Amino acid sequence: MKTISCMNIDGSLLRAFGAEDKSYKKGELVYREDDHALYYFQIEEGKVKLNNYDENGKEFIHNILTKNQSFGDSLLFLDKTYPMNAVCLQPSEIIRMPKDSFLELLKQHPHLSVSMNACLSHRLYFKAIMIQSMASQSPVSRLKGLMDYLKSYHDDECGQAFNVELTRQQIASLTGLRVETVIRALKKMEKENILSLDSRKIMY
Amino acid sequence: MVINENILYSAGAHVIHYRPGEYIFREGDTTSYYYQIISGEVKLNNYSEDGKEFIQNILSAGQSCGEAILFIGKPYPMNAEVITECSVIRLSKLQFLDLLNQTPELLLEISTFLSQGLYYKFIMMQNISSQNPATRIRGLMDYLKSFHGRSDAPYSFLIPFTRKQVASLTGLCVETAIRTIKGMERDKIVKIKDRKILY
Repeated sequence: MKTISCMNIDGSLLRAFGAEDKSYKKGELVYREDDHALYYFQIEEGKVKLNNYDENGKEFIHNILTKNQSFGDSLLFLDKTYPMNAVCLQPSEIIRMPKDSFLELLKQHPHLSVSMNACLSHRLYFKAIMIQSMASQSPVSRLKGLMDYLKSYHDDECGQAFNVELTRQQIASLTGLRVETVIRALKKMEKENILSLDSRKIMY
Repeated sequence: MVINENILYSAGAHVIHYRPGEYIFREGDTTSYYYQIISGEVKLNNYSEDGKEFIQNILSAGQSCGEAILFIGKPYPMNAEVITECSVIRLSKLQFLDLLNQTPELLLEISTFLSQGLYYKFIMMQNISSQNPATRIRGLMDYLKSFHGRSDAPYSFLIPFTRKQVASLTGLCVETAIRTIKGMERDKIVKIKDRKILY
């Protein structure tokens, strides 16, 4: 079984279980931090970032998701509010399905429930590795932990390099490093052929 | 409890006893079992090259241990080291997957448990990226209280960890953790009673 860290359920099956298509404008919030998780979301077109801000207004981007990727789904299994916002980076078409219908869908289609568990497990595995590398003093292992986690959401069948769509500043915030340290570590990783830097773009 | 113990027994599970310091599994092992703790405490940890321990989580009765690995075919990324005398239900991977096939409603219970793990990891990741030790420790305490506390009242929750464990869970040195907890006492964020931390 091939697993990645997010779900991609057939759109017509979702609609048959009561999902609707919704259009969002650039900059529009799909949900806000502290909202209750009421829907399953899957992107048809567009791009969504998951973020939050600390007391000083510093932004933390936790992930950027795109076509055929689900987001916020793990909260549907908990009685907790979202710990972050979901904001559209582009005009986006998103399939939205009420929580109860989603759980019913999983009940009636156990193979989807199995893939859901595989997805959550995959995510958990890479998160564990990421956190472990965050506790390390080495900037390179911190960056590697973060990038492996982000990459785990993407299908890399064709061996394509994954474009890390975060700025150096955002990477610094997520890894608790200073921007200068991130820049230096990225250069070092390029020399060691761990990633390639194409002008400002990071390909991992 | 993730899965009812009787269901696990009828699927062919056995109880295994472990002594403190024993390993249920080690980093790099491939898995052949599902584990669920009946009693005792287990820590999921790694050691860095310089021997510093990092604890991912401390698990106790009713929680399963390393279950995510059963679904993705990768080796364990951490050890499961026994802290206090433990009884653990162990079911072979084949029997476990068979059980899920026959009882699909268990799949949702596993989703919930995995999602809890993810939520915890999200919080811990945010804590660890902070340079401020008090933020890291408070983040851990908030999380523990929100999942295990019975009330929101101040000082109503007893932090079930030693200072050394708090340090290893937040990636801090023990000395820093001790100093920070003292500072939190002065700032009336925690109360200390017989060495125990009340939050």
